[in-house]
Amino acid sequence: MTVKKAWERTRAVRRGIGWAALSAFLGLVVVAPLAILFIQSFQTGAPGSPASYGLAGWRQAFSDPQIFRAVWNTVRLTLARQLIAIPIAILVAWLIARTDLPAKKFFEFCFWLSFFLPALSVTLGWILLLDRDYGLVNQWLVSLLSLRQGPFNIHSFWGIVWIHLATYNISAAVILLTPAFRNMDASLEEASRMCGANRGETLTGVIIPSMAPSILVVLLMAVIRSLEAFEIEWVLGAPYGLHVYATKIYELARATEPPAFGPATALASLILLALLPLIGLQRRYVGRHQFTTMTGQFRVKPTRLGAWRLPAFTGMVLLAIVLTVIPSGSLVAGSLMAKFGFISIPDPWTVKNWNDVFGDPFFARSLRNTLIIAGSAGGLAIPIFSLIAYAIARGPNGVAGLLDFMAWLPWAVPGVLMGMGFLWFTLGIPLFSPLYGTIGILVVSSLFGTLPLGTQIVKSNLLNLGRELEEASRMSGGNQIRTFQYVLLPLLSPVLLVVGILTFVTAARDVSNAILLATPRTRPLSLLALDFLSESRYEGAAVVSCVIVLMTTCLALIARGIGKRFEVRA
Amino acid sequence: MMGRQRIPALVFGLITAAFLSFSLVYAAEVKPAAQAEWEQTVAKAKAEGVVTLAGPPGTAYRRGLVDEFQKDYPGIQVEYLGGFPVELEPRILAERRASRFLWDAYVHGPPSPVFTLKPEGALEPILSALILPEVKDEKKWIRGFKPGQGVADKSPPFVSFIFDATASSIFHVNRALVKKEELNSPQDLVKPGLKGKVVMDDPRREGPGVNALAILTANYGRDFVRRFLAEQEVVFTRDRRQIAEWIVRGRYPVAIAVGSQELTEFQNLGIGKEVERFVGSWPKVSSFSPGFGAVAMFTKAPHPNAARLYVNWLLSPRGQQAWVTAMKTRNSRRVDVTPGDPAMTIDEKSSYMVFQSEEGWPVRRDMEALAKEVYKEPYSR
Repeated sequence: MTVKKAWERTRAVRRGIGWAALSAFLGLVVVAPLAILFIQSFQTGAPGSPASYGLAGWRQAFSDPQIFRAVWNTVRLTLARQLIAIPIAILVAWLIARTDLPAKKFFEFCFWLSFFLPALSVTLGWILLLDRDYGLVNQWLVSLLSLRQGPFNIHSFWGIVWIHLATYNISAAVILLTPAFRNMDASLEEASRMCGANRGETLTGVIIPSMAPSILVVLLMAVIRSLEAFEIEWVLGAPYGLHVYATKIYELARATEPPAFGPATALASLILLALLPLIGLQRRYVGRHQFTTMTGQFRVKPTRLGAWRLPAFTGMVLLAIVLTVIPSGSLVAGSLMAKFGFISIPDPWTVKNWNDVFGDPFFARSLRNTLIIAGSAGGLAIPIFSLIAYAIARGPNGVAGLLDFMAWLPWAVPGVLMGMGFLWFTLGIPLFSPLYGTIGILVVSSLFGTLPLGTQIVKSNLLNLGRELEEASRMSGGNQIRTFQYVLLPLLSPVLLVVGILTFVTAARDVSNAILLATPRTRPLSLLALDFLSESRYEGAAVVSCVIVLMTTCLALIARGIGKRFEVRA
Repeated sequence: MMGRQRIPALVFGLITAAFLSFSLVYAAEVKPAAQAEWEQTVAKAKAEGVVTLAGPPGTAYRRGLVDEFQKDYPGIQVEYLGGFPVELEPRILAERRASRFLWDAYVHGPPSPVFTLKPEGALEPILSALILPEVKDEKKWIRGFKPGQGVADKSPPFVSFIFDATASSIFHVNRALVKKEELNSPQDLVKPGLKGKVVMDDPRREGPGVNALAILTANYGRDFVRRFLAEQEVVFTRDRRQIAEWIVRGRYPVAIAVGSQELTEFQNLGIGKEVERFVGSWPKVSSFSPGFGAVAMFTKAPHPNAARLYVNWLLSPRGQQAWVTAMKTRNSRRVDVTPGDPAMTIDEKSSYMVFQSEEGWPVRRDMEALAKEVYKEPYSR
């Protein structure tokens, strides 16, 4: 009895130690690589020469006359993309999760598939269709309408916006928002309708405000990722002088020989500066409001679309065609083309690319490595990110704020730089250095890269859950572990599976960390794709991408099957 | 009389016989020494069992550098990791600073390791690692071991051995769209009629575009290059496939520093047959480029004997033929290897400047700076 009492009395102390340990661990893993990078921004000596420090890197970074134009391009591209993507994603997530839309499971699957497709292959597919001179759609319109020039130009500002929307912007937001919308109590909608609001008013006046934590997190993620995006801009914009902030960083870190990490990191620090107020604003807004959408009386009742059912269905079909059918079609077609984009040559189709990839001596080992890396990262992401998210959502205010901030930090620096920071960190920290050269370090780096995504999504969903559910469990004698196992896990299972799959696909596609941390024995499939890309064999890269997409799709289907067993039924 | 007349001939014959005997004896002593060293290296390398090789990315490079060696030495596993110098060199430096010595040899595009890895003491003197007589023999290599051409370094210790030598061509032209009267020599590149018709590998960063400008500046002067960049609204891209695709499709009928491999792949499929390469003489100096064709060895290598064996194999006729066969459009510096691109071979007589060398590096940097200066505010669509 006395032992039990003493145990009870020390609960607060134990909790304090737990919070401190978690904060210290996250601080070490997240802050240390960034700190190393930040110190490097003052390194003025060239690689290979003795270390010397100064402000030369900072001066070089901000003396580039194009940098301000690049920042402006980033801002306007981000605004244009998010102003279009977020409203569409909210509407689509609501249609899938809260209405009687026909074939909504199929549409949800389409968005997943769209997210799995690699950006470069999708971009090439759209170039094939919308290039100003030889794009198939343009050529068709020119001959149909007797135009002098095709109306579309993919190598332009709106071309870049279009490709971003068609790749990840809409699909990622839909994937992240749908579970949150699904976990909303139908009584909120009913109450709104009983007060005389129509469907639109209910959506804008009740549903969207109560989904604010999730929407804000998705918006914040989208904005941060927009600041770092460079692949599409690099292909479509850079040749025509349309640079963005991230292409400038990439230029310094990867396209300059020897790489100028100092100026690149100095430039990247602007993202951190932009991140701080955004995180602060998000926390302040979320902290001031109550967003519980799921309580003990949780019920699911789809909203009837009535006359809007057919137009909504048609809109979703069109979206699925643009986001999924065309890009996956171009990916598969690309993998079967003798030369990507050339269909008027004598023998345009071939299975040679598939034979080349499957016959490559590195393929089997790379595939196995990818399955291990991505599978482990996806599996570990669920408990680790849940724990951190739980601490952020339910922990004491100060600690939660600190953890929340730290959980965003891996995205404070673009991936091209973070890989280097992580390399220096791994080699320099004794706790992690034994992992260097093993497959384990690739798992850790993948977890590191998806930490913001995973924790923030779980956190936003936790904020939608009423505390009463956990309190009821505790009052019934359940400890924290049991409460998590029997109450929170079933409620969060859809979102946890989303996090696991997103981590899997991100790990399977990762190149920037893999190139710095993989060894010949641990190299994954993404480096095989890089092999093909670096010698301009897009067709081979398309085959590898098809394999990754296929693998991820199978996993998503299995996860969905597992998820159904845990799903809350009301 | 006859006897007196015969004396000088007899003396000459004796001296010749003595010299020949000495040479034969000397050769007999040297050959077994080299042979013994080689056999010892092979035996130790087999005991090590592995050679870790960092090199360029791409399946062709990997196959050229690994597959044939693996056939010749099945007991020695080549562990290959491909990447660009901007990725591999900072990584290797970071590893070595943390006392991780993981790599044996490095196949690279010179001269970057001369500036990054050599000052750290990370690279072995390469010439002393050559064992095989056919590799050590300078006469087997066009330009021998000449600093700046046979090795990328300007001064000893020489660490970066250049084995690839493919003559540089500056531009390609789509003859369906640009006739000979409009463009027939590099000097024509500044003609007003070509404005807006030229695409090139972005010279604002290290790469073949910078090399092309360096050759132009060596032959026609810096002002010529400035004029070309400033007046012709040249489109820059870093995607080599994009350059090749744009010229074969005719979007930009003139291309500077097209990847010959990328272009050949199109032409082998019957696309862009009308695209021609400029193969002409230069008024002052020609140039050749090793591309990714140079090799270095690491100090404190985990498998030092396997590294020596690998480097000797790579520089042997067999290793060089494997390289040329895999690369398809590259040439070896060896005199006894069939060229991959016979039109772009180099010779002993002409004057060459290799801008991918320590000596040529300042010119490249100057061209990069010039391109950045001229191209401050690009036009955009």
